[in-house]
Amino acid sequence: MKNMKFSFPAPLVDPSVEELRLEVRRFLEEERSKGMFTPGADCWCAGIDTEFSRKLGAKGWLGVTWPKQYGGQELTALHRYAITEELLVAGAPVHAHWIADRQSGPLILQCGSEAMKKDILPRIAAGTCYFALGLSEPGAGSDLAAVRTRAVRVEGGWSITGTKLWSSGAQVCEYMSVLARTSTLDEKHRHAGLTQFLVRLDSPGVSIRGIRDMSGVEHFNETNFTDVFVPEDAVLGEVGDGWTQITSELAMERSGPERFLSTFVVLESAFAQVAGKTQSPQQAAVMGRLVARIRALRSMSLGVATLLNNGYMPDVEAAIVKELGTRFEQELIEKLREFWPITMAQGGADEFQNLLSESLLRQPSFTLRGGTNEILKGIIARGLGLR
Amino acid sequence: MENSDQIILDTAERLFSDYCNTEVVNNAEYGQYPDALWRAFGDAGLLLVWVPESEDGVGGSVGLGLSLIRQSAHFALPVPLAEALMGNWLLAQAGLTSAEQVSGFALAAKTLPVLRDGALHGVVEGVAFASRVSQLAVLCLHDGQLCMAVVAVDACECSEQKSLAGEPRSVVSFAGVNVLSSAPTAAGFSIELAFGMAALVRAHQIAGAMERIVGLTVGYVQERNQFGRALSKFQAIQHNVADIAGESALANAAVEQAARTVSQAGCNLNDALLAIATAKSVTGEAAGKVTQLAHQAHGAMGFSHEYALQQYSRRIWCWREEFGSEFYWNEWLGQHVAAQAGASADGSAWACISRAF
Repeated sequence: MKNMKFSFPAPLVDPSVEELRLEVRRFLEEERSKGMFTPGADCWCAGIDTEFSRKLGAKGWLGVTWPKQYGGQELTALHRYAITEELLVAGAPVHAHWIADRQSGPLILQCGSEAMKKDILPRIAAGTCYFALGLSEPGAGSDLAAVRTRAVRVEGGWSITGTKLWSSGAQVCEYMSVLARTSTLDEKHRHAGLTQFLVRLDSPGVSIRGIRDMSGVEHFNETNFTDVFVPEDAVLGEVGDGWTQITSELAMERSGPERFLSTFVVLESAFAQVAGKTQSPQQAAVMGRLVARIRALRSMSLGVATLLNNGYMPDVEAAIVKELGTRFEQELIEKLREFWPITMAQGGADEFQNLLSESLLRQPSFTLRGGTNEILKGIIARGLGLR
Repeated sequence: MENSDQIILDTAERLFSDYCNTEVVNNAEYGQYPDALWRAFGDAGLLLVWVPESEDGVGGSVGLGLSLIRQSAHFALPVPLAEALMGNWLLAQAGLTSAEQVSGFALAAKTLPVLRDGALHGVVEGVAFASRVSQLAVLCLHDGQLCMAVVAVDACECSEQKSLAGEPRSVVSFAGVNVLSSAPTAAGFSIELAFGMAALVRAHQIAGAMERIVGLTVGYVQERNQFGRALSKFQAIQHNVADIAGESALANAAVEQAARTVSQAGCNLNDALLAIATAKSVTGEAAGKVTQLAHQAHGAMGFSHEYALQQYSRRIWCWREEFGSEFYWNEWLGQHVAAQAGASADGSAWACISRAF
């Protein structure tokens, strides 16, 4: 009789992690009180502030796990985790550098050329070089293997033609990592023949058009590539290896704190609303339940980080964190509205109401981005042996 | 986990497998108490995990006992292993443990019994397996001080009924019952901690039972064929099973965290309760979701008494209510975090929530 046992080991926490966490927290409190930023919901996807990104870079809080020779601090994943949490719960405007710091940098570190590493990584760590993801297309969302952007060999490099959709932040980004087909699609091996390219967004043939989302934010973009030339060393890793790169990237970023803390700033604000007041038992229970779920999700997320650190590949556990966490981010708003109804658009005088509105209008995206929850459930089912 | 700890858990696993199966559990419900099973546990010293070494016990850690309890729930053990461990844990808070007698425990949710002139007065409801142990550890008040008393079950009035799972739950009345022994509890002990520890025990049982439910469900949907293929090939089923696995994983993370927190030397009461509340809330909520989806995936077979699933769902439906349901602990969490966040000008909910990890 089989037992399905998921286990989440505790991270060995270095005191330096907590020191760094408190340093980041103090910095953010100061910045906030000086009016340098207003806490925003879903800040890692909605809040672009290049000056703020530069400040974080100057503090040495970006690219923290990278080798010092490339501008990193050679700190651990837990140090990065602590920094990430503090930025998220403060609602800090971190969108501009987020993708670059979280996945593009590590991708270059893993399979970029030496020249790329020396040129680009220090600038990402400085908070001055930003990346967008060129994955989805009009005809390829969950079915990423169906991308039609094509890269063909030309003299000295490649020529890329196609359209990428939903790339967030592209309008401020220097680079996009573009997934393109380099071999004709073979229906029996749909994932073969895909390659990732590093493309400069100021290249001739690139045109970017903003797309406004339903929360009013215009960070999404449609990016068209018309015979865009990239040099040979723009290939990330090996030609044809794109799918493996993408899937291993996903496992790493699937279980981080941005998968359950996107709306925490709203809960923090709700507790501020009730401070010094008598809560009804019902309100206490609703808010307390949210606290319990966050704590448990955090235990799982830290456990996955520990397992990754110890050399395991906890694909199922990571998918579970994201599946449960993103639904929780939505549920947080749906539960709080019992006590704080939400009717109005953002931009009013009441900051708490703005946070509620902003979150609600953005929440459909939580369970779609980076792999829909339905796809994640399929991954979990496969991990359990059902597929 | 120490090496010796793993040996104890492996021994337990062998005993559980050898002595307990679906039939044994069902038979216990209908009067055939598994005496051999219970004796084997006693002989193997499993009941002494939380009895100090100085009292001829195992002197096991809190974490070891909780792991054992969680493991025992994989088998829906129809014997008071968890209650015996908890009884010994309570007795140890007053230096009253004994390796000779098996104690259950009686922990009142509201009004503690009172000890006067060596006799106990009061009523405790929901006492588990009273008829299957020889004595009870009872948290009581003596001259307004917290005290632990030991009473013989035979000397008490027990009105026994069956829980949802067919296990004994009694209303135990102490009408001036002479105690076998009593002692004040150690400084720093509290009713809240006692209640919290009992809740944590139940949370571990729920988590363990849910692990088995996930396994049963995965096995069933892989084997059962309809419409020309295994149930596991249907996306609706795959997604249900993924939901079950997710809730079980979340519950495991919560109980494992709580076991670590309460095991930390110098852990203060609020941090312990923060972790315990998280564990009981998450396991309690998961209990409803997991049972609903597991029964749905099992079809009519899962609704039968003969098939093992009901042994787990009925137990966790009872355990989720005991020592505070998720509603109780959610309310505690909401009030506690609000108080902490509002305690100072720069207080924050996050500072409180991210504690005790």
